[in-house]
Amino acid sequence: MKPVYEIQHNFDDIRLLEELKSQDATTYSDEKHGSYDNWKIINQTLRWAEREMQFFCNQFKLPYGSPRYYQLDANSVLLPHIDYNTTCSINHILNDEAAPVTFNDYGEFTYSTAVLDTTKMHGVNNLGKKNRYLFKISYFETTYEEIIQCLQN
Amino acid sequence: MDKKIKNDAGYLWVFDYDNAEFERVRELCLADTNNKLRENYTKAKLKISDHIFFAIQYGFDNEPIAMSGVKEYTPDVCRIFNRWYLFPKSRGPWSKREELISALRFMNGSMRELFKLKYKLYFISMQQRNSKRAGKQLWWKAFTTMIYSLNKRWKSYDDGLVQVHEGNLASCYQNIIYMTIDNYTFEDWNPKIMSYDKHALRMNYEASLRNTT
Repeated sequence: MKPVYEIQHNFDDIRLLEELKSQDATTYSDEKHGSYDNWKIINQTLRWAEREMQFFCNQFKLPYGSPRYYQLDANSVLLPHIDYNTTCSINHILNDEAAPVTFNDYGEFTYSTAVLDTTKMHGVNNLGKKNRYLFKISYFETTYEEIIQCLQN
Repeated sequence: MDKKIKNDAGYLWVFDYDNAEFERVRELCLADTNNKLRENYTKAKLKISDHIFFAIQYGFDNEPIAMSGVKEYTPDVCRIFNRWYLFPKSRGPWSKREELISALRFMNGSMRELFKLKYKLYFISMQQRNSKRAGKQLWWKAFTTMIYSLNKRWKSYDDGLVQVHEGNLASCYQNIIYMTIDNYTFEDWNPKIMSYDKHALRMNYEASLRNTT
């Protein structure tokens, strides 16, 4: 099964990007991977993120996940990794001409909105590209297969 | 030292003694006849005893993905990624930069172990690829850019090539990127430097010797 499942949905990109850019990004860190200066989380204010998450999940009859924003700095690489404590996520890219995600055993996937199997090794090569902004809804218990099943139903 | 550290790719085995498993892995490495630096991994040129520790990254199938060691230069300075080697089957879908990406992943796994060491300057070095263009070459710029983006404490030495082996051969002088702690500086280490121009001439000279003998 491919680790990326594309979805069509009109998120309010303007509001989400505005909310993301209105606050400071902090270096992401977790127990398993430590931290990298180029991979940042933005989660102080999530008013629009919460609203968009709820609207999206209601529409597709999905359980609510945890919304947040991430920034991968221009001209840098998000090293191959398996997400910490996350079973899968819905990712929505907020900028144009974004770099694809690369799954080690599957290759590259270019998407705008998609469900990702974050239990499989993946990373992003953002060399030669601008900052990559991501709106992400993370799931910590619901599996990739379960989310896809909901979407297909 | 004998430690296994679990990570996303499998586990990193860190050790500092000769053993049969390492010899098995060495044989796999030596079987790669496409490796231009194959000779560096023979028993004569790769000795665990030359290292503070050596590390092998294994996948979940218990087969090696990559290996390298940490070598002491002075009581304050050590080289990381000494005798770096990535096994061919691990070169994945990352196109031209795949080896670099794998190196960084491997580095991340061992970095926490490295910084438990007592050194004040850690460096990675790589040889100039050719003499056609003196100065910082494009592949090195790409490598250093990526390293800086991950951790801004890394610095590259930009005023020439640094002597990392005894002797005057071009390969003894290499590009280096380094990280210091406790206010230690590159000048405190004070290694010999060869200018980029002189190094390019040296490479050409050595190539001409090879062509005439």
